[in-house]
Amino acid sequence: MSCITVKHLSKTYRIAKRGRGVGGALKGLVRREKREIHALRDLSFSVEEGEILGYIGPNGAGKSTTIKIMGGIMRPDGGECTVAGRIPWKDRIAHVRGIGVVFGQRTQLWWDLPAVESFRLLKTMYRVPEARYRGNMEELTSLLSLGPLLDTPVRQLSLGQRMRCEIAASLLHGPEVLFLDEPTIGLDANAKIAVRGFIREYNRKRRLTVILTTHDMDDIEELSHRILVLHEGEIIYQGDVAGLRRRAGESRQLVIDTEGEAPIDAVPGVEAAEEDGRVTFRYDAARTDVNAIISAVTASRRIVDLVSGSEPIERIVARVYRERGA
Amino acid sequence: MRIYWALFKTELQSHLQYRIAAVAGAVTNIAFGFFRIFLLTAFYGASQGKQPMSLSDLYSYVWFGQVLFGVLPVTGMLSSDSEEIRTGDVAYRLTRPVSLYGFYFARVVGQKVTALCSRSLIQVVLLLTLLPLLGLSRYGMGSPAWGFLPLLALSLVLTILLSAAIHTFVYMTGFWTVSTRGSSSLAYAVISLFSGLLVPLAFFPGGLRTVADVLPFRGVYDTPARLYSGTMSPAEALGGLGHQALWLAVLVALGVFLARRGTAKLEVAGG
Repeated sequence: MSCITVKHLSKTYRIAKRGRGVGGALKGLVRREKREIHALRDLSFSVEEGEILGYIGPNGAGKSTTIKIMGGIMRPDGGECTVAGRIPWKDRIAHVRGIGVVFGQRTQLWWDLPAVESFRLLKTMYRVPEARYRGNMEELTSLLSLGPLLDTPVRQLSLGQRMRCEIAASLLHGPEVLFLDEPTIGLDANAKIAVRGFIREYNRKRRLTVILTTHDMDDIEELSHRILVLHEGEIIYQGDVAGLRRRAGESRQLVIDTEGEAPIDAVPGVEAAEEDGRVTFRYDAARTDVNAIISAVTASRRIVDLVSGSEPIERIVARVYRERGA
Repeated sequence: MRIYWALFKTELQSHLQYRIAAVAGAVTNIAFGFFRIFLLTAFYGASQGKQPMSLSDLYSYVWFGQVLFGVLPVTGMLSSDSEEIRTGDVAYRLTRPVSLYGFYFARVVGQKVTALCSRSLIQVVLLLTLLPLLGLSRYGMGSPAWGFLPLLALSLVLTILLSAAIHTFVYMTGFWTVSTRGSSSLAYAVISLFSGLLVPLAFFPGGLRTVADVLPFRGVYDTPARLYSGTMSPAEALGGLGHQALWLAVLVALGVFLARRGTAKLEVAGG
């Protein structure tokens, strides 16, 4: 069953345009020119119940706008949207009772108080019955290893510890949908792994629908069942990660550590970059035979080591953005 | 209602931790109290005419304002709360099943009550102990007019709520001006003048006095201060309380209206 349906959603911002320098600023005092920015153009997609949707796109693609509309914070100019059967902007307070939101770059916890105080306040705000609060709290504490953190003032927590508390805060009331806006931003490798592990586990146990916005491609590869790539307010790819790879072609990467200074002959259709004897080749496996590259290298140098693999997903996504941007 | 009570309590808890800040605030307010008192005493000494207030009542009036300084809508106007619309943190607030206005109002009330329980209390203790020790008792705060005490208590509650309503109103202007810095400075100037903080309202000339009487700001200082020193007729006292209650209702209604319009606008303009 669809948990979220978005149909023909559009949103345009009017932003005051300003001339450059003092002259422009003075002119702006008298007459303001407005510039229109189409944040979303005819956006349609749906998300199944229990699905983790990776929602990606470059900065300014319209990701946050979509999240704000689905979260009841903002009203679209046109189109339809239902989240768990509700139209988000119709009755904000009723809607937000059923969703959880984490903005990775902001905090929802009371800075000067232990996290548990914020949790208690949220319990009151969402009118969570005591028994259910205890149950949820127990589960979240064990899954996110919050035990020793609960009584520490939030300002003394590390970013990773705080993020675990933020995520717990967004789930205390047992929402049907969770919006995660860059939940791993700024975290170290271990903290990222902890956050991802939790999201995967909780999604499986509770069949929670998750919308995940991120610039971290590991988040996407490890968590999302499906991805949606947004560019300038339009969807440019919808499907799974493997599909995106296929679409990008049989794109491969071969890294060779070499000995010697002699130049390597270029191989047609192969992109090469060298740094301190390490040469990275990118090529399309359907068109180029890997033997041709290796022959070209061995013709002038000795191979010390080599690694071959698929092109990293972030490079593929970056290329998809670039192709659309051009 | 329980939600706003919980918000208030959390805010109280969170601000009561700042003990040093409370002491520093109290000491500063006392220093400025002496400044105001010496200035007004010199002014009394230089003038021949009959003054609208006795010197001892004047000292009580001044000290009352200094003690209440943390509660007045001139303190904490530029807190992090006031900048939440500019920074976009307001988005988080809107994901809560709570009225946006109620959220900020409850928080400000929490901050005001914190000030009353920490900064104001410290000042009273300091004034009662320090002044006699320094031999400055004659400049001290007189005892309250006991007969007005119940009315004063009620008036203080209204003062806190009215002050919070003015604060929250200023916050809500952030939806239009983005930063609340401008509206805060404007509010600071207007409130300092028309609450009686700069010059007691009793000294205002006729026309200006009428303006001050109508505006809401005397309700945060002049009214409770005069109830404290008992320089009000019972009719004036009841009128003062009515004035406080009426403006409280008006400012809350206006604030709620601004919050509604503001969030609708935010939906249009984006955050």
